[in-house]
Amino acid sequence: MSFNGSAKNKSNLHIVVGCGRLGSNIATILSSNGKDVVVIDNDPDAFRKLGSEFSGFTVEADGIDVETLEKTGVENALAVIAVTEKDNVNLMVAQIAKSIFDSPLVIARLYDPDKEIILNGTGIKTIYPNKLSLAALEHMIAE
Amino acid sequence: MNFVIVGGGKKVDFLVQALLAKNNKITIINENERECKRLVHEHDIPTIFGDGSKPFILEDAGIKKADLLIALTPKDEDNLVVCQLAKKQFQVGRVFAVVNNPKNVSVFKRLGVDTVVSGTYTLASMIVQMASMDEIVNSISIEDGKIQLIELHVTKGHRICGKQLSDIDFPENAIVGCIIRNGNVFIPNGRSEIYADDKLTILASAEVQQEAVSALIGS
Repeated sequence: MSFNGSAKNKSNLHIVVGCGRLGSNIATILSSNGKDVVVIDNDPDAFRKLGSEFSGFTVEADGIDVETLEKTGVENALAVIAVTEKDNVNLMVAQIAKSIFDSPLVIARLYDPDKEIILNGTGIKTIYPNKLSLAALEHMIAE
Repeated sequence: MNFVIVGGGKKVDFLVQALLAKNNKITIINENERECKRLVHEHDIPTIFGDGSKPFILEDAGIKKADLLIALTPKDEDNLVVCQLAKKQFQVGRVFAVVNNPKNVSVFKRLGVDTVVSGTYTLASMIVQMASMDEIVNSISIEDGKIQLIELHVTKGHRICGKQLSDIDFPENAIVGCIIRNGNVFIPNGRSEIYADDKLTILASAEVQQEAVSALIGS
């Protein structure tokens, strides 16, 4: 598999690391919107969660392995989305994508907001499910 | 000094014994309750049961007073996060990470954790060194292998044997830093004579190490 493109002209490749509920759904949505999508997960059974509209690639491998990311074309990726169940894996994947491969858009899902300090100043975007739920709950209660 | 060690098993046992022998204070963090009990029983030092990649657990272990943190869990991603938290949030002076995947040595360095050790990496480079030349009894890679510290055992057939160091054509960027003779250590100069059974410590850049060793043994 090869993706052409220079630093100026990135492909529309989106790499999703972690094929859990969130990962499989975002991968399916991106794919059905016409993006090139590669999903990485070390459990081959996880790919069953991908929807029928998914037409990207699946890679059974460890997302924190630099070589795995290189082979999937991380250098030319438009976005790297780290959404495994493990915060530390997401933190490492996101930092590799941003600091080593200079990916324009890197997003990490973190369950533990206390780890935010690690990503300060890196330009990596974060999603905190707890904060989102909390905001939604407050909103519902206020209504 | 105050140490915080995150991890368990034989590596930690060995490290703790070595550090305690030099009167250091150690606190261990481990996320397996049974292993915690074993560690306490074995070493009689404070042990925190919990995930060392969580800031509050690090605080429980007294990270704010620690001079040095060592992360050697079996998971590289955990070791990275532990070290980054120690540096960024708690300003620990020195952090060490042990990585299991040798490829992560350079990854960790690029992510700001500069003191990284990989058992496989170190072992592999040592074996490659020692296997390439019989005369080399020991070697250590420094600065990602750019510099080699080599220990050479001199025997009768070697060119240098019975000569002065200045008699041989030694490459630039290499130096014989030390002679070990009958357990005594000498710092040599050009007039130092080398005998059989001496052990020489050579410091050489990776490019000339082969040449330096060849100059001494004369093959």
